Amino acid sequence: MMGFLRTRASRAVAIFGLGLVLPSSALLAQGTVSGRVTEVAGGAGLASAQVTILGTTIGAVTNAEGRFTLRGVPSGTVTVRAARIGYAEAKKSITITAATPATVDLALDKVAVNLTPIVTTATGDQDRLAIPNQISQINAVTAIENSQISNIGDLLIGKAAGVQILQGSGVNAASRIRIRGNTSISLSNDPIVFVDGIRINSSASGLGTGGAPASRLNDINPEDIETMDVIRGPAASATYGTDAATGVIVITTKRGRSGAARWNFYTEQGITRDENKYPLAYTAWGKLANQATPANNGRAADCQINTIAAGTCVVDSITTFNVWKDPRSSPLKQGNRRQYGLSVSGGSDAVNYFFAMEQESMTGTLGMPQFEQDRFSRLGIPLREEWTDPNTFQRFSIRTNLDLKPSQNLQVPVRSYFLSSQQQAPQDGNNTTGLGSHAFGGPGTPFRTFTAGGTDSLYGYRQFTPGDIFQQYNNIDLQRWIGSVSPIWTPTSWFATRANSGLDYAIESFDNTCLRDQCPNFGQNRLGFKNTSRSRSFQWTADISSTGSFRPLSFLSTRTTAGFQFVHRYDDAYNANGAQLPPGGATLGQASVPTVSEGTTISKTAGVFVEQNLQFFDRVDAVISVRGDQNSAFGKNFGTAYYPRAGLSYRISESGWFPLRDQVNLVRLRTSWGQAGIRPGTTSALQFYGSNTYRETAADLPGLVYSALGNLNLRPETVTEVEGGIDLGLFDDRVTMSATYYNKKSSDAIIGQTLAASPGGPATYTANIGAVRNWGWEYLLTARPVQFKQFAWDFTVNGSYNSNEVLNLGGLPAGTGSTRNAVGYPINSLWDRGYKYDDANNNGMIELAEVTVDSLPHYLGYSTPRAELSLQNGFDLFSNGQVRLTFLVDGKLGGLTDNTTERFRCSTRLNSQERIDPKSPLDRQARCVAFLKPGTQSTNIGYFEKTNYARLRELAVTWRVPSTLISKLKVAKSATMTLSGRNLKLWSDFTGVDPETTSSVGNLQAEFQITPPLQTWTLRFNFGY
Amino acid sequence: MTPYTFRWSRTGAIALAAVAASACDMSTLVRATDPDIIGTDAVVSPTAANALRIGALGRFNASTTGGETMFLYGGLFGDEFSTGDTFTQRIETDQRALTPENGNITGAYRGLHTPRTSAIQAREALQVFATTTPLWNFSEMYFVEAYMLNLTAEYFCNGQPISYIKNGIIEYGDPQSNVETFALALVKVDSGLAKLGSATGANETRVRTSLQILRGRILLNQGNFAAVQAAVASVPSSFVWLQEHSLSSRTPGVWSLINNQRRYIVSNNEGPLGLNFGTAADPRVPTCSVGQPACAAVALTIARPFDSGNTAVPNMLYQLVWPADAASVALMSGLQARLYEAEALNRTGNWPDAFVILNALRAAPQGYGRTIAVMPALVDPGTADGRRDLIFREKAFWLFGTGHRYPDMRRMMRQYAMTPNQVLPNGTWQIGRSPGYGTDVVFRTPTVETFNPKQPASNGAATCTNLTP
Repeated sequence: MMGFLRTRASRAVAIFGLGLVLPSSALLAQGTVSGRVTEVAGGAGLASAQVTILGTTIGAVTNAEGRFTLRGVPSGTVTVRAARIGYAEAKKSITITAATPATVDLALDKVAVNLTPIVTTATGDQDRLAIPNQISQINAVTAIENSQISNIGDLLIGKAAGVQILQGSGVNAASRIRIRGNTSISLSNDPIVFVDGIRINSSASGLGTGGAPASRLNDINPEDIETMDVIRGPAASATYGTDAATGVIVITTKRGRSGAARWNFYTEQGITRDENKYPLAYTAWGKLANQATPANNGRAADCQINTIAAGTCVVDSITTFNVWKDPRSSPLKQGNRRQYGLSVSGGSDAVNYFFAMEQESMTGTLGMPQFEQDRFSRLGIPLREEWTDPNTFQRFSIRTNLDLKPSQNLQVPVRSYFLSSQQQAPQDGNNTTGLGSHAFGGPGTPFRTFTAGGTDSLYGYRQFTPGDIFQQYNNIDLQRWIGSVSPIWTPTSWFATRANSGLDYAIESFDNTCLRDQCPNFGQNRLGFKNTSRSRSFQWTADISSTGSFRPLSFLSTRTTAGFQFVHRYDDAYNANGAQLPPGGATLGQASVPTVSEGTTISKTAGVFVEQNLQFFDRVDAVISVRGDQNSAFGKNFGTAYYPRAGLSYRISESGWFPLRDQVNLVRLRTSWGQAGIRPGTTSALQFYGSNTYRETAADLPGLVYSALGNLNLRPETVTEVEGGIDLGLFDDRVTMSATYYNKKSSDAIIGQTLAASPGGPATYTANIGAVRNWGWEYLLTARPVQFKQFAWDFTVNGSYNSNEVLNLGGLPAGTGSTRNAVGYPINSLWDRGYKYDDANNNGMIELAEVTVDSLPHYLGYSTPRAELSLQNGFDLFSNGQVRLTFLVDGKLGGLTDNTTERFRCSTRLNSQERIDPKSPLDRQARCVAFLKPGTQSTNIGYFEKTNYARLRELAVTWRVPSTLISKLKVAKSATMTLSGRNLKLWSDFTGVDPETTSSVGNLQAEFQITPPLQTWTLRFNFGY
Repeated sequence: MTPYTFRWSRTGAIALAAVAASACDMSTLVRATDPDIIGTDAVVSPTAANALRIGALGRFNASTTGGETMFLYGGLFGDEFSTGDTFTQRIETDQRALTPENGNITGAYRGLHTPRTSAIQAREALQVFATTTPLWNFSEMYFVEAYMLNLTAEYFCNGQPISYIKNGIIEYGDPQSNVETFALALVKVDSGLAKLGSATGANETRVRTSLQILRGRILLNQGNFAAVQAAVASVPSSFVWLQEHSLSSRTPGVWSLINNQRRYIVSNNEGPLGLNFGTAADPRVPTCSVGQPACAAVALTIARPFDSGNTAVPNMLYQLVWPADAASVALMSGLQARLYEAEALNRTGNWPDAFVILNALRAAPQGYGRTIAVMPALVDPGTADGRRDLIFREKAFWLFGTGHRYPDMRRMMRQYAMTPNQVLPNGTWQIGRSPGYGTDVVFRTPTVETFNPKQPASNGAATCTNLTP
């Protein structure tokens, strides 16, 4: 013990602990309140409603029948409040005596869908209206019941203003999530994620395929989620400290309710289709003007508009081919999605339980075309399942959530989640041997052959065909466990201590293999290789905080929270590669050239925080807090980073003088200010050497090379945000509106500063030299304009508009490329030279001399969409909403996307219409020619296209089988059936396949040779027992 | 004490405890040691100093024969290689229409400086921590430094800054003319030779001879033809310093980019005045196309280059100078010394002796590990221009793919008063991307150098003092 007390940190923790124990002596006379929460319409009991005694830490959640019991309630007059998402809150005042248990029943009226009575913050659950910020809460249970949700991205998209989701392509692909724009120039802009109080690994994990990475955030099963809170920026997230400046997603999983065991079984069966419009490939056949007959590598000459116009190539015909759609060559097929889940929940006063398990499998839309199957058959090569289904995903998960109540004053939530998954993905995207490179890049004919004069056709592929491409086996096996214990001790009505200790531990095995004589004939691939990686990811979160709530004066309630948090992330990976496998060989030991490597990443954050909430006259809320953090990535000369926060909320509508109370039930003004950080790279502050090898006399010798300058003064990127807004509730919250303005600025933004080459050292140096500003508006409108027994209509509109500006680059020169960071312009702003064209000779073809390119580039716009708008409609049909029809349309605009695929089809694949066909529109020809200009005259500008689109994202119809029918069938107590579709229709002027396509979760969208988001239809059955 | 007062004190205690905790030193908790990191405190021993020397040699290999380096880009810019893929960076290099942002050239440019800085750092560490180290270790590092300085001036325009990092602090250099850089390279060579003294061990001989050959090359670059013969006279023709390669370290760049990846093609009459490397059937530069026994013998079976969908790109012409992933490259050789001598003799008016050297090399070919058939004697062209062209042709075939051809082409323009269109490929470019070749004659300073505060820039791009060859 004395050893423990030797360190200053330990002593401080011990003192802090004593401070938490002492208040237990302050017990006052206490009573019990019990009751039932029901729905106004119909009077049915409402489960999962949160019931609290205002001004205390006492609370409970209603059981399946809507019943609750609150113990330890202080004597005197108290206010009981019941709240549940989707319903207007209700309050009642009662008088408590120690001698007689009190009873209070509350009825809640249904309102529009997005109201959030309680939100989860760093300092515990809090009343939404007491927080001076707009925190979005997504009810996962409702979302899953009424739409098709297969991952976290599906849950978020179009649901929270200011949260921009760019879907990944392919099965279980990671989505890019940005909250309130790009905050950092050089560091990650991904939000951080907590699940039941434990920080989890939510990063994308590269598959090494050139396509979209796998998502560790998607490991969390949406079926297990109860609510998801989105805390957008530093004005709200300051108490999360370092790393929280880009936003925080707080996930709360389901828990059991007191009562008999309730079993739930569900299954989802679906199909996935690629309904995208892929471009035609063009080939102009002919002969060179100086040739009597076509003779160019044994084939007819490929004419292009420039050679046709110049008269050096004479066309006799133009053919087109769509390799994606032709039944002989298409690599597309119908995929499927299957999901089976079983859960049981229930409990008693002593323990509540929620147990769930799920099996899920998905098969993507890529498959081996018939011509490849025929070729393999001719070659006597038996087809393997991983070649015919190269994009698959399987997941099995088990969750056990227990809420133990060993005593009246102590609750111990225990959470355990185990996941095992396997994901296989083909080579794709920006990849020499990827499918997209060869499917987008082939000629306008299926009849070119592998070799000149050969017999096997490429069937419209550029060089490598799907059979060979899919032989390269890429697979990730993952085992992951996330568990936590989070005791809550409430010794008195006014005091509670929460602790959290939890672990996110994952073991990942990655294999990338080409067996001998398999895979595309590129480099030494067909000699065989096996690349493997075995990695571990460990993240431990431990925190403790205490909250004291009381009412010192009749007009004042206070809530004081202080706590400590420690987060330790450790990742390591061992990579073993073997090149040149013998025939039949498939292991590293059988390879003739083995190589190994190892990598480790460590990050530790320790922070303390204190938050003071004050509520005046039950309508004015003030909050002030500060958090101090130290992190292993900070420079040696930097100590503690402090993140203060302050906010004010005023519910005008609760003032005595407020008129129109019958029509306007809420008018709230709120404003807040806060700071949060983004930590530097884990080794950016360090000066260090790396290793290399030099081969001498047939031996590889180990050498040292100077690798990093380091920065002893490196500190976190600190982002300061001010936000303000107004919330309105009309007609008992039948209509709610919210508008928020935010303005956030990083004053010491970390920039991976490019270093000149001539010093001969590292390419970058990390320093706090920049500044970036984001500002914008977020809007939310929810309404339930029609509500009858047979028909009701509700809708939600989410909107946001973001502006972004680099304020300072620390004196560094702006970049000169098409994508650059320049002072006065957005992060990754797009620039290039303009051009003019004129078909001066009126031959219908744009020639090189007919395009004039400006000498200097100019600013073009944002590389990410600035505005987002979503509209979700819900219709309840028949008695009490027996059938619910919902659809979600969302759109983005205000950004530019580099249509790289089409640019490459013009410049190097030579198969786009604008490059080949003289009948193609002149403006399209001109952008191609402008890019073909030599060297510094070349401009991409024609391929920077507006990222404006709208998409019918979700369409679903849910039928709640009437209880009368259920009881007759005697198969279950309740049943629902949902038919839903996702990504059903796209409206856009984008000339590529899809403006939402990306293979990257980084700050830049990467539209390049990758298949866009897919369309999915599922049928879901849900049975309750 | 009223209950409320009591609670105020408890709440205050909580806050105070938190504040106290915040004031405490949490640095112990967040201390982390990353095993990937080799800290500066580990580089304080003779072993570590020697590892820095090996590290410098590793970077030297990676920046010369062991990667996609200026050896390949110079050949692409000149007439040794053509691009066979779709990368803009290679296309514009092949077209002689470079943009200053070209990422590949930027990488290779950085690669000219990293071995130089590593060599200086190694020398300094040897001086401090390995006082008994053999002197040739110092001289070897002088060689690396001088070699990279020379390459910088051979390939890039006038106005190249030479910077350095000492004790973690960058010392930016001012732009230097090529003349100044060649002079600096010569100083480093002489320092290396001086440090070596007269020791005669195998390593001393290797390093001394390499320094002498490099000295001859620098003197050629300086136009000091009269001094070349003396500089290399003592170099035996059989001398070679091989850069070794393997799959586990680095593969030869030319093999990797041509034979393995098919991103480059051996050129044949590129531009169209380029040398006929493909059709000359010269035993010094063996080439093959698919279908020929020579290609079949080393399992080269793909006829088309990487970008096979573009029929305007010719079929693959593979090189067989380095037919395998573990082939060694003769970076420094007695052959070079003889060729330098031949050019210097011709330039100083002694064609007969130059001609004797050229024919002697053909009569007794030095393959340095590979067999080169004896070649018939040359015929004297009889004119000054013809003799000049013959010398450069012989040199191009002897030293194919080792970073000599483009610097020689540049010297043809600088020292022999030839025009760019007499030397460099021009006219219609092979691939359909109009309008053909550009007008660049030297590699420009990449934009990345604008981050050097002493580097002049214009419109965001680094500027050269001049673009003369």
